[in-house]
Amino acid sequence: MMNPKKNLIKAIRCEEPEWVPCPTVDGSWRVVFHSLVERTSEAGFDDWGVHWKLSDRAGGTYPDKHPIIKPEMVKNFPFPDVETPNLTKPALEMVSEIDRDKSLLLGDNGWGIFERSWLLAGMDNLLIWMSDEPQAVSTLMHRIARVKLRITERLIDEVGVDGIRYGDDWGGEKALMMGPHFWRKFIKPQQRLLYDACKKKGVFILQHSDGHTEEIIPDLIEMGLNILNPLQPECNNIEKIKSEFGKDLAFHGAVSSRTLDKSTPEKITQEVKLRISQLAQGGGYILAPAHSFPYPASNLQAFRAAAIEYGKIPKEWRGKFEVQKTDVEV
Amino acid sequence: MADLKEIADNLIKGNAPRVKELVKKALDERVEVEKILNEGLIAGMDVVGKKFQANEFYVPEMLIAARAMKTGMEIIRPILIQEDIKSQGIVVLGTAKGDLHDIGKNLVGMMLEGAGFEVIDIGIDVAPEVFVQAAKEKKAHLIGVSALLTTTMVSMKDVVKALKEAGLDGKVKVMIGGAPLTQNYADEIEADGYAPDAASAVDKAKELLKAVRDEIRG
Repeated sequence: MMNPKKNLIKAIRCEEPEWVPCPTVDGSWRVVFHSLVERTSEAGFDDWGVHWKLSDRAGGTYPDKHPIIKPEMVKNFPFPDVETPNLTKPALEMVSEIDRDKSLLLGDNGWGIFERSWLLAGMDNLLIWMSDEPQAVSTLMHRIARVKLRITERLIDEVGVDGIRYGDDWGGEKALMMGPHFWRKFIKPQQRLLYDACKKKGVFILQHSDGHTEEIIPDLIEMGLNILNPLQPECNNIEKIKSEFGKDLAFHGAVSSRTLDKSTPEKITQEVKLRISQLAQGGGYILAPAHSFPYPASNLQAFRAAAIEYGKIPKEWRGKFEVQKTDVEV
Repeated sequence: MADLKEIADNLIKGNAPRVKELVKKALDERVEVEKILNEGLIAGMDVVGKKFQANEFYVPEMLIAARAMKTGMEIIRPILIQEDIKSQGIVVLGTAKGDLHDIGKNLVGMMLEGAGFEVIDIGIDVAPEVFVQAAKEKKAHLIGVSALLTTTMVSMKDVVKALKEAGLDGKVKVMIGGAPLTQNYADEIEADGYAPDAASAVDKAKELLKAVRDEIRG
C-alpha cells in the first residue's frame, strides 16, 4: 500500500506519485540535525569561531565578526572537532520519535561551503580573494568540505538517514552571486566530494540555494543531485526549468514566500494550484513554501488546505507537521 | 601621451595598481582632472555596470572594479576639491531599520560613486530620523534606502514621512531598492524612485536629481 514515504520516493525519482507530496502535511520527510553549533541563538560564537550578534528585527542572530581576516590565516585556522561522539546525538534522539516506514529521513548538513567560507572570511574578502588569492579560497573551501564530508558520512553511518540536505545560498535575484565561472572553479569541486559520499552510500541528495540558480542546474544534475530547493519563483523561470530539467531533477518549494507572507488566502490558493500545474506533472515536485518564515496563521491554513485539495493528499495522511526549516535567514 | 581609454580598460579589469599609475601619469601630463574622471574612471565604471546588468560581470568583478575606481579617485579627489569641481550629487545611503543585509546597498554605493556621485554610506539598520538627520547635515540631494526583508521594507514609508515632517520633501528625493521592492510599493509609500538593480539605480538617481535641479530653477 502507498504511504507518504513511498509516494515521496516516487516523486523524487520523477515518477508519477499518487498525490503531490507535501512534507508539512503528509509528513513524508522529516529532518534531523547534527550537534555542531552553526549559528547561535543568543549573542556569541558558533563552533567555527564566527561571532553572531542578536537583533530582534532580523529574525534572530546575524554574523558580525569574521575571524579569517587575511588569506595567510586560511591554512591553519582551527576548525571544529567533527569526530566528537556527540556529533550525531541530536539526530539519534529525534529519530526515535519518527516512524521511518512512513517518513523519509533527511540529515541536515548545516551551512554550505560558500556560506561557511564567507562567514569565516567575510563576504567582501571572500569575493575579492576569488580574483586576488584563488589558492587561499580553494584551500578554505576544501578544508570546510572535509568537515562537511565527515558530517555526511556520520549521519549516514550512525543515524542511517535516507538523504542529506545541503544548504548554501549561491543565488542573487538575477544571477549567481559569484557567477557560474567562479562557482565552477571554487565550489563545484568541493560540492562534488559531498555528493559523491551520498552516491556511494546510496542516499538521496537535496540541495538548497536561494535565488537564481538556473545556469548551474546541468552541473548539479551531472553531479548526481536528486532534489533542488527552493526554486524561488521571483528569481527563476519555473516553466522553463521544469521543461528542460524536469526529467532528471525533482523540485521542492516554489510557493512564493512573498505570497505567503503578504498576500491573501485566495492568492495563496491560486499560487499553490499554479505551482502544482507547472511542476507536478509526471512527478518531480514536492510542495512547500519557498522559505521558512513566521507566516500569518490564516495564510498557512490556506496553504495547507490548497495542498490537500490540489495535491490530492488522501485523508489518512493529512497530519500536521511543523514547517521545517528549509533555510535560516541571515 | 596619457590614454584615458587605458584607464577605463584597466578599471574594468579591476587592475587597481595600473589605474593608479595611469591616473598619475595623466595628471603629470597635465590632462584636465575632469577629463580623467569622466573619460577614464566614470567611463570604465559605466561599462562595468552594463556588464553587471547583462550578467557578464558578477559581484566579484564589481568589487575589484570598484576598488580600482577608489584607487583612482583617491589621487584625483584633492584636485577636484581644489578646483571646486562638484560631484553629480550627494547621496545618503543605508539599509532600512532592522535590515542587516548590505550587499545590495554596497553595490549601489559603488555604482553611484563610479558615476561621479558623492556617497555617504550610513550603514545598516538605519532609523528613519537618522536618514533625515544625515541628509540635513551632509546637504544631500538624495536618500537611498535598501531592504531585503518584507518585514523591514515597511520602515521606508517612515523615511518619506520623516522627510516631510522636516520640510525637506521635494528638496531631498527618496529612492528605494532591494529584492522585495517594486515600483508599485514605491508609489504606494510616495517614494520618488525605485530601481531594480545597482546599475539602474545610477540612471534613476540622475533622473531624480535632474528633477531637483529643474524644480530649484523653477
